[in-house]
Amino acid sequence: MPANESPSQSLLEISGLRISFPSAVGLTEVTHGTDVSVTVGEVVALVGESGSGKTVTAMSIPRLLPAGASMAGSIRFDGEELTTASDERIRQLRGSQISVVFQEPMTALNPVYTIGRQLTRAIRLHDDCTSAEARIRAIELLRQVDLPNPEQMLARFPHQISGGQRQRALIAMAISGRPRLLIADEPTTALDVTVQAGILALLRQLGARHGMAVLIITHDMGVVADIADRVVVMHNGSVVEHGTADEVFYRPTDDYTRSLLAAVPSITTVDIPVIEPERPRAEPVVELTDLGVQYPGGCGFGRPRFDALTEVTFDVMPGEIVGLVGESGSGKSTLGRAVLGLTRITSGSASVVGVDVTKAGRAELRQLRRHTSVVFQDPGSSLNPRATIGQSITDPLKWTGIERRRSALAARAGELLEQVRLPSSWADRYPHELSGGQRQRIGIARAIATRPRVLVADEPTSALDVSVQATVLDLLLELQSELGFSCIFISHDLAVVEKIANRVVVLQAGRVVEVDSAAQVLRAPREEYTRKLLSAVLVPDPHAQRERRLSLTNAQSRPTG
Amino acid sequence: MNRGGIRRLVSVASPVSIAAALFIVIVVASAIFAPWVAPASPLAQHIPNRLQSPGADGHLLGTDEFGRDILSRLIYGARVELVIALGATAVAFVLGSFLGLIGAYIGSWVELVSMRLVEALLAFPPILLAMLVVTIYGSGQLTLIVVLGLVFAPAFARLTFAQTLSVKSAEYVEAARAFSAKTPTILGRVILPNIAGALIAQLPITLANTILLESGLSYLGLGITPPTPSWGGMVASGQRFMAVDPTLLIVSSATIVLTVLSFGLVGDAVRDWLDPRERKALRAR
Amino acid sequence: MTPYIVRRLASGILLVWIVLTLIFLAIHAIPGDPAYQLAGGDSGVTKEGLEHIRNGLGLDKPFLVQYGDYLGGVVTGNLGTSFSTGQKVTAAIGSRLPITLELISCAAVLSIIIGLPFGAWAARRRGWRDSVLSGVTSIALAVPVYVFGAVMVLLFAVTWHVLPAGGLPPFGAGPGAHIERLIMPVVTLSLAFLAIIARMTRASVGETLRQDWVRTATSIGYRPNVVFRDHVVRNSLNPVITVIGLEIGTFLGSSVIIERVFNLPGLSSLLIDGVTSRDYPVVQGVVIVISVLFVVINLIVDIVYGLLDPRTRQR
Repeated sequence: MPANESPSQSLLEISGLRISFPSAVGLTEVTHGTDVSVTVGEVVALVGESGSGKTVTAMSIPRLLPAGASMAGSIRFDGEELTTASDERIRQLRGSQISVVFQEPMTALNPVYTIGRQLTRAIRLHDDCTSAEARIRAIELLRQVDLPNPEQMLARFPHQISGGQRQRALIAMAISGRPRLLIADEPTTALDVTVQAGILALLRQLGARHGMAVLIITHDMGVVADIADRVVVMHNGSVVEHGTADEVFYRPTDDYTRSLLAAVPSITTVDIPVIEPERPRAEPVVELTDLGVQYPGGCGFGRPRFDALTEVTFDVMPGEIVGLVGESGSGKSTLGRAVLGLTRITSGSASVVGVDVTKAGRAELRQLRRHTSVVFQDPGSSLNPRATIGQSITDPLKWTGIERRRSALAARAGELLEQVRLPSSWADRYPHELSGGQRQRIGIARAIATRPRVLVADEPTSALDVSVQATVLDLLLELQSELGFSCIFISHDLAVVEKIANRVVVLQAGRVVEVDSAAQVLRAPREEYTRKLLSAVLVPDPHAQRERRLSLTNAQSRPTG
Repeated sequence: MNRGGIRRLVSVASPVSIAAALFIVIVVASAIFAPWVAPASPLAQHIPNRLQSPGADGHLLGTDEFGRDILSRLIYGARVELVIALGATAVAFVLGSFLGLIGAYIGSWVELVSMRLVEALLAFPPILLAMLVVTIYGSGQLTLIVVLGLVFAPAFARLTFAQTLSVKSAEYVEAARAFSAKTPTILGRVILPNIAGALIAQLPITLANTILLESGLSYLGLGITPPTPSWGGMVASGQRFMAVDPTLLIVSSATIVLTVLSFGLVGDAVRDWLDPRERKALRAR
Repeated sequence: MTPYIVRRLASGILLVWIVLTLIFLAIHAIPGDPAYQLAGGDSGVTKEGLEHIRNGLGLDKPFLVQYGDYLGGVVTGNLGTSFSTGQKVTAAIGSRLPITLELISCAAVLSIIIGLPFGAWAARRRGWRDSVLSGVTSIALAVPVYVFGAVMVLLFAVTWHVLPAGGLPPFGAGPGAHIERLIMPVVTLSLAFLAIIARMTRASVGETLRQDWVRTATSIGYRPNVVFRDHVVRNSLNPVITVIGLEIGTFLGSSVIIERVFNLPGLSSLLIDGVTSRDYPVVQGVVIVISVLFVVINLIVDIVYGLLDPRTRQR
């Protein structure tokens, strides 16, 4: 506990909290005596990777743990002990004293009711007022969370508004009872960077305006640097470090915190003169000219045609890593699929290792696929759960007809596993026996099995914890220099792209905004949209981030989202 | 199914589902070995001995309205019942899962045609469809197998369709396409192993349903033609004579109920047994 | 909402047409000589029988003319004349349909008002209630309706003499006797349907309870009962409604058997007599009526579905 706090200011004191869940072997303890404190009006970040116990710790405050969980230790809220309080007392505190904003805006609102109904119900739960008064207050709340056209928003169903708008509506519901503590569980993880910046600004502003303390749970050091006054770092169910943001970022005392900070990719914030590296002069392996992908308007009535990609032109040289960046819906994944011949290209041309994908027949596509390869985003679903790892990584050799002999395939499986730094004896295991990072290594092993000339990597690290992400990226870079393949690296994370790519293509709504060397695009962007994307990126450095934020708020008067 | 899987099946099975499985084994065994197991011929009439109570004159479960041994008729009835149930389930499984698989994987017009066909089949109440066909073609065993197969194919088609759709969107199927796998390979080697569990769990339940429907037809006098023994027909005659002696009604009803119940319970157990892995796969996503 | 209903209506009409065509094909387009097969195949065909069937079904006319006559007849409510009684099929069905409708609607209402709360009760607090539900419904689904009916008659009518068995006097002749004789058939018919509704409700409520918006509602401070009423029940109804729509076919089929068990003068006896005496116009008529009824019920189910879930309407 930091000693410099006066007890009168203290709002929340968690001490020695142990939470256990029932499991096959009795109760399993998931947090081992955590201490967290929040004072009135401050923003505290609870940071950790998956399995650190950060969410469980926070959810134990309003008693929102899954059934069967048990707690020991103490949670004092405004002097009142919560671990022993009655369910009814906890219910009274929920919404009026302690509110929660959840991670997934897609599913956190009930799909069958309008925003207005859900919000006015919440208002009338805490305030004794007429429905007309509740409506007026609902409009006011929607205005507070910067939602456009509040009156119309009330009549909308959740599926009719965007993810960022849903998250704002949820925040409006959460603050409708004027709580003194807002718990935000990864509130921006599911959102695009530009939307994320707006939500974080909103949380900071609401906290300041209403004197509301915010406990934000996140895995993202950039978010922490942006918003937190104080930081609590958790690892494997224990608090390993706590202190002010400056202390934790600039003078970390714990090894885990240090390694976490070291693993976070960060875009370069200092202006370095851009030296244009020479592009290899050769025949490009991928050449896209005015490429377009259009989805037809579904079967029948009223669904418009949708242009996923329009006039996309760029090329990839042998041995180059091209980063493809853009927000959700920009068409970056569609582009990856088009290059692989998995999506029908409706206009323009795409030449991949000398084969025109738009005109290729089945046989030609099969020929092409000896030279192309892919790593997918989700290590949980990109491997067939009913096939062994050995099968999974050698199937491409079999399917492309490169190698069909069992003994040769088995030998190659061992070789590939060693190449991705996994024991060759793992060939007989099944995917569910592996961790996320290990599975992604398997995905990479499968992708290099055919010694491809072009590899498409579709957000290969975005589902991984930062420390794992760093090692997977390093592996990918090593293999690339060893095998010399060209790579189209799709990512929403500009920091990751900066670390890995030679060239960068920026996509927005299916169109190429900017193509150039990575250094040029990321340090001296020419286009307004690229600048906007870059300025929304959070850097894991509180001082630098504050400066970026201030210059951003000067540049833009109003947050978007 | 590997050895560990079987061990786990036994370890998670409740005493009730083990009892259900044992009952099925007994029914199946006595159906197979009917000529050796049955104490008498199922067709041998002896009118003076009609409607005897259990135990009388060496008839363990008594006799029916023609003086035939009830136990023997139940055992031979099991034969008829199981042949039809297995045949119909096989027809339903093959037809239904094929339609569902290609409908979901290929999509477009194939989906339209196969799923409309399924919908049209579903638009007939099952027993009505069976009655219509029986009216036209008579009620032979083969007719019953085909018509019951048709009746229960839509259930498999819908299940396969839904499962395939959810598996199809998984990245490992996309990966198989990206790595040049041909459509039959994707269907057979990638998709089928991942949906097989759900389909297998549906098998015992379909067996139960075919037995229910077939015995219903026989009860109405539209299924198996007398004097061939059928469980449904035995319930019908039991009901006719229940005021005199309810034994026939009770034992034939109990046989149907226990058999159907056992298949249902085994189906539930198989589903539960498959579930943990399904859940794990879902969580991993 | 209106375009949604129009679309549903259009696909409903399409389905009725497919169903009518299948029934037509089943009777009029048998490979070989349809009349020969319909008259009983190799066993006992008589010349008069053949003639009778040919004339009665118009099998001597060209195929498309037969189809046109058939569709025209169905649309104008003319389903032909019974071979055995000479009565108009439409009239015969008309006089019996009300009893069948009364039976199935009473049983459907009973199944829903008991099945829904039963399923929700088990899902909300797991443990022993779950076991009760799965035990009761497993047995209810394993007992064939005719067995259940026969056992009811054996117990309540034959052994204890508390309820009369069989037959159904018209409502006008004495409401008491009418209702008394309807109790056992309705209870019997609702049993399996009730079990399915209860199981599906349990599964669906269990699923909804795990949804994020339920957690959101809890975190805002609603009482558990309010969360359940507002954010679980309504969201759980759609899968249940889908299952009701699907299972209504089996349910309608069971009503045919129930009417036989309790000797009710509904469509069933007409149908079974028709099947036994190969009275095709009657069989065809009853099958058409029940199948169309089934499609109409499913259409209503779809529209209710759309009313309950705003996302469906948009598609």
